[in-house]
Amino acid sequence: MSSSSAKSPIPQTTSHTRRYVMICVVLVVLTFIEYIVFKVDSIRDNALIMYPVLGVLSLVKLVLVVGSYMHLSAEPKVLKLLFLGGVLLTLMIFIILTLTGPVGG
Amino acid sequence: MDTHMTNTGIDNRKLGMWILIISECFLFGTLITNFLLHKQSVLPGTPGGVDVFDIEITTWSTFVLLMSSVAMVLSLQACRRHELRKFQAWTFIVALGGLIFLGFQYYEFSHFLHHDFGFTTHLFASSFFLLTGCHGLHVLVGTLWLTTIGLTSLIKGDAWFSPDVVETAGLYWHFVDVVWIVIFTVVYLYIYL
Repeated sequence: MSSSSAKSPIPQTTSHTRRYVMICVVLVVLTFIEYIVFKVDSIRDNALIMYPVLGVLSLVKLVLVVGSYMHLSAEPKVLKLLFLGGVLLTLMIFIILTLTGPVGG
Repeated sequence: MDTHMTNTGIDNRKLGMWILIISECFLFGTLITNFLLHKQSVLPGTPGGVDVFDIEITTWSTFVLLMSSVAMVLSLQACRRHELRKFQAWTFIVALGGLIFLGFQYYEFSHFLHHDFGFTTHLFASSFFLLTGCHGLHVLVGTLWLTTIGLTSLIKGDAWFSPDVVETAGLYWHFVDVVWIVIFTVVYLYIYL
C-alpha cells in the first residue's frame, strides 16, 4: 500500500481575498433577487416561474459555496466523487420517502 | 500540526470531516423531506407558516450567515499565511456571525410561540422546529468550535498555527451555511407551494 503526504490543494501564501469577496457579493445579490422574486406579487402568483427561478438561484448559491469556499473544485477526484455520491444518496432518500409518503398519510 | 502521510493523499482529519458532512447530508435530507411531507398538516384554527413566517428577518439571518462564510474563508487564508492578528480577527467575526444568527433564531422562535405556533401545535410546526432547531444546534456547535480555536490562538499566540484544524472547522461551517441556503428556499420561500 503506497502512502503519500497529505497536501492542501490551496497554495499557502497566495491571496484570494478579491475572489472570495466577489463570490460573497454574488451570493448576497442572489439572496436579494430571491427575496425580490418572493415579494413581487406578479411573480409570486405565477408558480411556473417563481419556484424554478428560486430553485435555480438556490442551486447556484450552493455550488458557489461548495466549489469555492469549501474548495471542492480544487480537491482530488476521489473527494469530489465521495461528496457527489453522498448527494446522490440523499436525493434517493428524498425520492423514496416522498413516494412512500408519511406514516398513515 | 504538520501534514502527515496518508494512503489517500488527503489529510485524515479533512477526509473524516467530509465523511461527516455526507452523513449530515442524509440527516438534513431526511428532515427536509419530513418537513415537505407534513407541509399541509396544519390543523384548522391554528396558525400555519404563511401566518407567522417573517421573510425579512430570515433574509437578514441568511445575509449574516453568508457574511460569516466569507469571514471563515479569509480566516483560513490568514492562518495559512501566518498572519496571527488577521486570523484571530476573522475567526472571532465568524463566531460573532454565528451568535447573531442564533439571536435571530431565538427572536423568530419567540415570535412564533407568541402567536401560538409551538412545537406541538401540529405536524407542520413539529417538523419545522425539528429541522430549523437541528440546524441551529449545528450553528451553536460551530460557533463554540471556532470560539475555542480563536481563544487557543489568543493564549498560545505564534506557537499555535494549525491550518488543517482551521480548514476542518471551516468545512463544517460552510456546510452549515449550505444547509441554510437549502432551508431558506425550501422552508421559507416555498411556503406557498
